Amino acid sequence: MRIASEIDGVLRSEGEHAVGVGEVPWRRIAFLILASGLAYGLVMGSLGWKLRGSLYTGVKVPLLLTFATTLCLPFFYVLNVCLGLRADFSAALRGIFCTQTTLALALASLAPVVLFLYATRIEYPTALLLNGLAFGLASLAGHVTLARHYRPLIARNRAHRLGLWSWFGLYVFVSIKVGWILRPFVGDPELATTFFREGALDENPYVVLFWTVGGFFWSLVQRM
Amino acid sequence: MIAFLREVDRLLRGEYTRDADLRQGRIVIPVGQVAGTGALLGAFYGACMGSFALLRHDEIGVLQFLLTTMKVPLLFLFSLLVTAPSLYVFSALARSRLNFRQTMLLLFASSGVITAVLASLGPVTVFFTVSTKSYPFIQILNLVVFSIAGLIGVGFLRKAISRVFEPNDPPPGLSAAAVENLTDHGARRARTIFTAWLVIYGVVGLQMGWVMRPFIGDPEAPTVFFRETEHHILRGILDALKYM
Repeated sequence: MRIASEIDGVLRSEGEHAVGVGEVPWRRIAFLILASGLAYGLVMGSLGWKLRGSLYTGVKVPLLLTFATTLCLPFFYVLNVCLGLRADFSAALRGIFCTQTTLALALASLAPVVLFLYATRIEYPTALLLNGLAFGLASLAGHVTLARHYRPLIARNRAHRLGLWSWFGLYVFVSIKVGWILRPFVGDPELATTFFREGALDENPYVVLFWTVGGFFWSLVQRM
Repeated sequence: MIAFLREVDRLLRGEYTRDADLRQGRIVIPVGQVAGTGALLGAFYGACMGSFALLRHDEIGVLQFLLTTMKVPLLFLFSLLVTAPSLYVFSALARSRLNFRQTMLLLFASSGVITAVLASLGPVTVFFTVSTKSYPFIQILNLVVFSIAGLIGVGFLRKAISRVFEPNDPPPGLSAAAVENLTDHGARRARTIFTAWLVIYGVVGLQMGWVMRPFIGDPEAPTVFFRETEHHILRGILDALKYM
């Protein structure tokens, strides 16, 4: 019942998870993120009913949700102080943590849907798309919580908008790399189950993106 | 450690550059503490930068790591020493309230802010260093990190400089429009001085970084304290993009 009221508090931004200042209940937030991430990860990695894949992804999803946030926190703090937002830092941090928690809870709530569709024997590309959509939907849910926490902060001081967008930019930049390293998440049933794809640390998604985009524009120029 | 972090916090909050103090032409900065804090933070980021050499090279990588740890604080110190006289002269011409010593203290404080931002991005740099082998990518990443830190640091300095040119209590008998005119004139002077100096600082900082290279350490090149100076940094950036 206590966990249920914690979840309810995060989703409605009420009680100890209400918008505003106050000590951030980070232990409980961490527990919710890890448990929800584990629940979704176990389902995500179970395509083809591979137990090992399921366990691996159960570990990876919480890592994906927490590692990038942790890396970006020092910069978030320094930026907020430099922007003169030190007094609101507790409230801003609460907003970030509650956003991650909402994202994890939304993912966990979609786990039964993913499990059901896996049970109908969907193919690997469809499974990839399905999980991509689930993450997209969960991100939107996270944004609802983020907007709720940040609206009064931005109304109080517009510099919070810069702080928020800077955080978001850095977080996305780091998360993409973290996600790239932690592949595979779904796991092709035709391939052997591994924790990391071979050469995970050698490839760089931004270098791949640079050459892909560059190649596209170069081909356009050549056609002109 | 806690005392050190508190010192960083005080610097970032602007406790040494309060508006009221700056308007009076007073800079109350414990120069030893701020300089020491800046040096440690710079060295921390230097260690993060140099970790690429530590992971990619053999024993020589340790040397590159140590060199980079020393070079980052020196980069800021040398840039500061080269550009401080010009900031003082331009400010004094525009009748700023700060003398040369106070101008140096203000620059120390802004360098401290830059190194604090760099240090906060250190974990991100180390993460990408550990997870990529692309030397040009790491070059561009560090350039972007330095640019972000530089922008925030000059923002801090710009705010402080604008206070230094604000008029004190206006002379009695002046109309509201005249007082506003005085304030606007001070703000325009501050902006002009600052923009001119910023161009100088930017050019000096970039070229100083180019002259003091290598910081990361090209795995294909031998480790040296300074590489032979050739071309300029813009050419270096284009080369990094070409070989990504």
